Amino acid sequence: MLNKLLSRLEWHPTHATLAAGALVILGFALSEINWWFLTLAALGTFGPGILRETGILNDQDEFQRRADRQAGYHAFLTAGLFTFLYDAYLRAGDRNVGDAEISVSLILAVLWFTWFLSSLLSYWGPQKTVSRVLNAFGWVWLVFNIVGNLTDPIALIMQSLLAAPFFLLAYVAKRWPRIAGAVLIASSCFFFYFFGLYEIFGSNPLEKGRGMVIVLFVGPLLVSGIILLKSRLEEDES
Amino acid sequence: MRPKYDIRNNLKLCRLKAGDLTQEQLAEKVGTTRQTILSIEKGRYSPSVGLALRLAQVLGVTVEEMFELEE
Repeated sequence: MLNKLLSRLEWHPTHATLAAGALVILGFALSEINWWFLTLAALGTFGPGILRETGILNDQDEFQRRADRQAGYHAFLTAGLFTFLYDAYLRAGDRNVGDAEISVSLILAVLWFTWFLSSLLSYWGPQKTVSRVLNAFGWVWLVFNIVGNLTDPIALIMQSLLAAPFFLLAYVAKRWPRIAGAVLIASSCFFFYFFGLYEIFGSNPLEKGRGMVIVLFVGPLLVSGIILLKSRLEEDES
Repeated sequence: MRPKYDIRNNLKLCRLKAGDLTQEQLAEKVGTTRQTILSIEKGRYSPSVGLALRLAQVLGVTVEEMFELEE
C-alpha cells in the first residue's frame, strides 16, 4: 500500500530514506518528552548522506544522487548566506532576539526547508511541486482546524473555508502557472503585512515566532510564486 | 559556464518503438528508477554517458538516435 502511494506521488525513496524520514518524525515527536531526542532527527536528516558520502551506503541511482547533491548545495548557499547576514545583524548592534536556541532553530529551518524544496523540485518539477505544496498547506490547515474546532461547528465551517484558496491555487498552478505565481507572490506580501511580520525589522525581531512563520509559511509561498513565474508548462506523462 | 546548447531526447519514442515498454520496465532493465526515466524524458535530467549507453543497448538504438544536440 505504501509502495502504491509513493508510486502515485512519483517518489521512489530508498529504504534508507524512508527509515531516515521515520527517524526525523520520531525525533521531533519525542522531543516533547526530552530535547535530547532531537539527535534522532539529526541522525535521520544527515545520517544517510554521511553514509553515502563515505561509501558505506550505496542505495541511490545517479539521478537521486544528483538531486541530493543539488539540494545540499542550495541549502548551503541559502543557509550560509542567511547565517552571515544574521551574524552581521547581531554584531552590528545590541539586539534582542531571545534565547540562542530560537536563532539556531531558525537557521536549521532555513537549511532544512531549502534542502526539502530543492529535492521536491528535482523530483517533480516546478508545477507539480508547487501544486502539492499548496495542497499540503490546505490539508494541514483543515486538519488543525478540525482538531481545534470540534466543539464549535460554525467556526469549524467558516475557518475550513480558508483552506479553499490553497486547493484552488494548487489547481491553477498546474494549468496556469504564471497566474498562480503572480497570485502567490501577492499573497505572500499580503500575509507579510497581515501577520505583522514587518516587525521583524523592529526591536524584537523574533518575538511571536515571526522568523518561523516567514520560513515555514510566507517564504514557501513567495518561493513557489517565483518558481512558477519562471517555469515552463510541463506535460503530464507516464 | 552554462553550455550554449540544449539536449533534446527521443527516449520516449525509442521506448515505445522497443516493444511499448513502460517507464517502470525500462527502469528495471537498465537498473535505475522510474523517476530517472521520467526525468530524462521530460528533459529535466541528462543521464551520464554510462546510463545513456546502457539505455541505447537495452532499446537497441544508438545514443545519437536517443539524444540530439540542439544549438
